[in-house]
Amino acid sequence: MRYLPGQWFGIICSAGCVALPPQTSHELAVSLWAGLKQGENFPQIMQRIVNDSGVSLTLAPSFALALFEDSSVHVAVRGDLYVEVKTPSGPVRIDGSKITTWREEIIVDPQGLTLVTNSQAEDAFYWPLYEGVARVSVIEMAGPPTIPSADMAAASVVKPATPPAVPSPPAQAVVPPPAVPAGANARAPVDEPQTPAEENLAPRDDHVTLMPDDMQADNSSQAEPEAVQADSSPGLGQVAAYGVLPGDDGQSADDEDDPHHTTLYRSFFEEPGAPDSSQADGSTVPHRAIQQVSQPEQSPEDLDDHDGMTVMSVPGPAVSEPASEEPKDLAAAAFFALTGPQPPSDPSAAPQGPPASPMAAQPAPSPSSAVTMVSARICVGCGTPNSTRLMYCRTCDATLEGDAVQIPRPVLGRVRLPNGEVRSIDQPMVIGRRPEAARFSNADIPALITVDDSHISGTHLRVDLEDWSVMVTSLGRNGTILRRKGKPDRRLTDGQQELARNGDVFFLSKDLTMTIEELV
Amino acid sequence: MRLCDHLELTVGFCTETGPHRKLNEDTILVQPPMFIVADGMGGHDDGQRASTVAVEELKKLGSRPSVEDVRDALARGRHQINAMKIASKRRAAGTTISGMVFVEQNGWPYWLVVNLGDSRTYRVVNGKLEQVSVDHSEAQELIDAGKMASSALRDYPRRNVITRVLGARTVEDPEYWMIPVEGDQRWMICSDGLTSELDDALVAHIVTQPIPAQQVVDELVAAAMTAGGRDNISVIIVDVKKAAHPPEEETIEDLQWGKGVWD
Repeated sequence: MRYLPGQWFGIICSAGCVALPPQTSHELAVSLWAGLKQGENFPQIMQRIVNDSGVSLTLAPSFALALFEDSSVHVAVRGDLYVEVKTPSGPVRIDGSKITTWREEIIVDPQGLTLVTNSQAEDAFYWPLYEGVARVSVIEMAGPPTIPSADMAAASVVKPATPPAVPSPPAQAVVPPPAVPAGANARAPVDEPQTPAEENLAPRDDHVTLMPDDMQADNSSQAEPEAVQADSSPGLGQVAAYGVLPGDDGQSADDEDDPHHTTLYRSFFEEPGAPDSSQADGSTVPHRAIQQVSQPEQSPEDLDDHDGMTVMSVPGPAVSEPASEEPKDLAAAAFFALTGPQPPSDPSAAPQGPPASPMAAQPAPSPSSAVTMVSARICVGCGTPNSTRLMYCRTCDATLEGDAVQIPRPVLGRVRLPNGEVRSIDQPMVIGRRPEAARFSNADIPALITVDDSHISGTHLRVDLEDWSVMVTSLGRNGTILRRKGKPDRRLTDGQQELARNGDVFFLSKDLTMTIEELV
Repeated sequence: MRLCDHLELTVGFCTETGPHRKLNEDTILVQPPMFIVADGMGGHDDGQRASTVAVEELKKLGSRPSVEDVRDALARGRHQINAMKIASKRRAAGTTISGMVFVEQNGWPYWLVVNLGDSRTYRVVNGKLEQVSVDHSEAQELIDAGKMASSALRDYPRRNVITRVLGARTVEDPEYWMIPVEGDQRWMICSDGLTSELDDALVAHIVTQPIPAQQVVDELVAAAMTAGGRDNISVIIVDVKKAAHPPEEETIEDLQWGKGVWD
């Protein structure tokens, strides 16, 4: 671990780290340090942060919290700062700006993280830190604690060949001194061969569920080869923060028939994976919703709600043993106290003191859902953002150096349409006689380009942006001819996707063409 | 009612609490150019309020909303639901959203179909009922993953478990479709109180009958009530008819790359 000095409080421990703004009280910082050292879990730490602000959400401080949990890291960020987690499939950024509450995610297989506050760095150099509280601008952590051990001394004598079959609680684990700066792959290499593939790759962690297979396609294609072949479940880079059904405990992710490896609902104050409700239910998870009806303490409204009606897939808070009820209710009460009183447009929703953060100002759509970010290296010479694939700047040929940063995706090129119109490639396009667009999200609202010619299909071509690449898919009945420099003409048939290159000419019909130009 | 120069709509709709519920958590919006069903969820009356909040945000949009307007209105709705003071201590408040909004893209009329959750938007194509929206439900994810046949959906014990919703302290956004507006189309928007009670085949049979929109709605709701009516039932049927001037003839002339250029 290491940090850049600044004004924020960095509370750093092998289990994870917390960053709090400069005006944070000594008590809170010390309390968090104690919490981290005692191995408190995510909800407990969150409660310490949130409780400190009393009842109003607007008084809650900006913060960032990253806690390693088995093979994942659980991150929450509020305010104008972010945490970037390195994963096998690339960096994942959790940005807290422009959100009223906080952003929370669980990232599987973290290989290091960087926590960046909005505080000016007060020194050009990173300082090493093993554990402690420091005034920081940036914190870098190498990765999750990999060697189960009670203390430093034990860590040094642990046999490297010991497979971490049962990872110990985070607080008791100790990170070996980072031999390389955060960002390099800091997983202890000795773990890899000894650990059974599914234990290593699948998020066996109780707190995380697999996304459905189709949603993993991207990750799996980018995963390291060994990850792909080692397990039928693709190695995951990122899983959004969702709660999990109690029945998931201990089940391996490659269990094809398990219906619960699907996206479930996030539920902040449920203790993820707490065994209580699964005990209450026995093992027949599919009947949970029905069993809840028979809980005697439920109010009539709740009975109604479960009678064949839509429910969210959170672990049922209604079923829990009295013993485990208390912490949940406390956390729940804290949450409701937070979310209750302030209407979103309330002027008092302005952030308190520095850092001036736009959060909670207006109920604007979250930028992360409307703007696509890409990894880029910025040219030191001319400031041009470049794809991380490139070694030399595409504008000035200077050698690209330094770490990749996340930027809103630049225009990827231009496309010359059949009517002669030239468009920037900055959003997906669907081209056809009466083009239809299916199943898109806020971030990829397509332009529908109508070419009223009887020779082409209703929906004929689609242009997609993937990272720094432009993909062209032929959807029409008669296909599309691709004319590429130096190659014979080729017919793309239904659904066939092609990585576009500069100068590609796509023939929608004998005379109607779309040309790709000036790709970055 | 007239939507634009060339299109005429006939709409039938109904939202029904059903015999087993105290509250109707569904809220529907029939306000051209918007046709929306929202199925709220939560304890006490939280669900009812959540679906109302979302619909109210859409209602504020003018008569010619853009895709971005709809997106932003739903983001505001989500924000308000998440900030709402809720009565239940155990269940977060949220709502599904499904339906369609008439929008124009470069002068061409489109239905923007929007969906989040397990309410549904269907259209009748060549006499067949076809679901346009894709449920955000555990069952649908199993189907997508190839682990369950879509025919098994109604028997799936957890078919009421949805995976995405507007609100419920999440930041989920809807999914969208853009479908060209064509003459002589029938659309159906409904909450799961209809589709979980009735066979797909029965729903399709009723909807594809050549009877007026409101009569279709009445028959659907009556059938769902007869079948049990365990949840609130909401249905909107929109019949789109070409008016006197079909759009094709005029718009072709308007296009600068009309036939003459290419032939």
